[in-house]
Amino acid sequence: MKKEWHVYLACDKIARLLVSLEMNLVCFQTLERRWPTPLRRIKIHPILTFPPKPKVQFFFEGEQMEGAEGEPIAAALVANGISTFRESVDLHRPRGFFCAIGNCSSCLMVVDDVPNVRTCIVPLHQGMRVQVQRDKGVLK
Amino acid sequence: MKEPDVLVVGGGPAGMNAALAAAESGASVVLVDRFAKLGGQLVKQTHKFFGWADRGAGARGIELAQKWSHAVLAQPQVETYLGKEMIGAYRDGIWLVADQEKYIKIKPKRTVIATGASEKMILFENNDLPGVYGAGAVQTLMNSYGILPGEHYLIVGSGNVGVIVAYQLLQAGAVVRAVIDVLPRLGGAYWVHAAKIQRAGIPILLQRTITGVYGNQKVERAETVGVDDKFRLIPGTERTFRVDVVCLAVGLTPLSDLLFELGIQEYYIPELGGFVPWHDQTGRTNRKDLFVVGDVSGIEEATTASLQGRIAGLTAASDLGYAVDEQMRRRLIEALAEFRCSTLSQNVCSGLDRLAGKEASQ
Repeated sequence: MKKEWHVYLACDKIARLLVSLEMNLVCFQTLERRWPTPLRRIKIHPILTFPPKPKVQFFFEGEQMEGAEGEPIAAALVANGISTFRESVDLHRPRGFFCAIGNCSSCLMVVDDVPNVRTCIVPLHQGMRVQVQRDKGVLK
Repeated sequence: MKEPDVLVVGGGPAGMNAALAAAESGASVVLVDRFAKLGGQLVKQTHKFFGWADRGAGARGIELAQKWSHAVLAQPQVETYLGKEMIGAYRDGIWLVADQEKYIKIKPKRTVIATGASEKMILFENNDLPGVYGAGAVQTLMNSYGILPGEHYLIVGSGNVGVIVAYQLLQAGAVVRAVIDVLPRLGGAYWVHAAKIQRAGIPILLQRTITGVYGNQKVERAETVGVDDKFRLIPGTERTFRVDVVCLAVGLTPLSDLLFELGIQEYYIPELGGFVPWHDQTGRTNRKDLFVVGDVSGIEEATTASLQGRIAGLTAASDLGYAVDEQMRRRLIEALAEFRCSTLSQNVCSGLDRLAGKEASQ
């Protein structure tokens, strides 16, 4: 009886280990398959579907990029692998996406020559010119 | 200048329900939200809600967001200003909305503030480095836009938000290295979700805190260390995580800037997220024409927010002489009290009790 119990425990342990290993392996595999970096768009999801939206071209620091019409500018940048959106005013430390609700000012950028645009809540449109903001912004 | 009966600031579960309840009673309503879409933070909540079936339990947040926002948009009594931000509240009762390059002035008879909450920040080295995200922001990116901001994640905080985000990251196909929490027990997370992520092999490391993130222009690794019962760091227990995203899920705090501007009576109640406006059971503050509902009145969740919204909407309409089903209003107030005691943590309940015990200054 006692022996069987030990066997059972050992089997249970191995099973748990396998499950966690497999979970990680599955994740790694899907990562490899799904993301030719820097594309990070989710293709398979157990609950959600992401129907393809019309693609638009925009420019980040002069470089042409692709995003989905109407998604926040900052989301399109993240999908293109961009992490620095602005620099802090005094120390010029890089700042990126933080709150996603238009509250924290970490994603302020220059969009079509207008500074201090909260890119996490402003929708992306065809041909937008988006630039890293390095100062407090000047209104022209 | 617009002169509606009721002005609602915020289009989340609380704001949408306040607008609906007031409009259905006959009041004219203006609803303002700085985001281009209604729904607030419901639009990213893919998990099923707990609680009562007739209060939306079993439904996913995304479904509720859709249901309510359709109802609001279909309601002719409600005018919505989306993608426009409320930027000023003046003491003579005029509110200012910024619309691109012009301002819209609004002078309502009653105002319902439903601005929600913002993520709290904690101190550690380089906490401003790109790659440090509010957990809610990661949730928005992956659930609303289908974008994963990184490949390997560390979650700080084992409350409801932290654990649910960990689970949803798994669903989206990301690798979560660990969930850490400085407390010796799980935060406010429901056991179901905590068990799910542990079964999937994500460790929940208690009594551990983050001391810094490092990397070239963005997060490449996070340093953590164990803490003792008095929150002192224990040398020798350092552990490095190779991650490119750190999700902060260390709590929420009411977005009460507008209330502060107006000098509304606030009290510091940590259980409710920090400074919260005093209000009675209908959401009315010490200014008779001003109501607060949802997270801005104290951090809770979407079901209570929607109930609070309904109650405040009905009360505002009844103030203005519209015929309101009194029995229904009373039933909602009872339902809210009952729901809170049966599902929320003891913490929130005692916080609410403390707030109720405070005085409203005139």
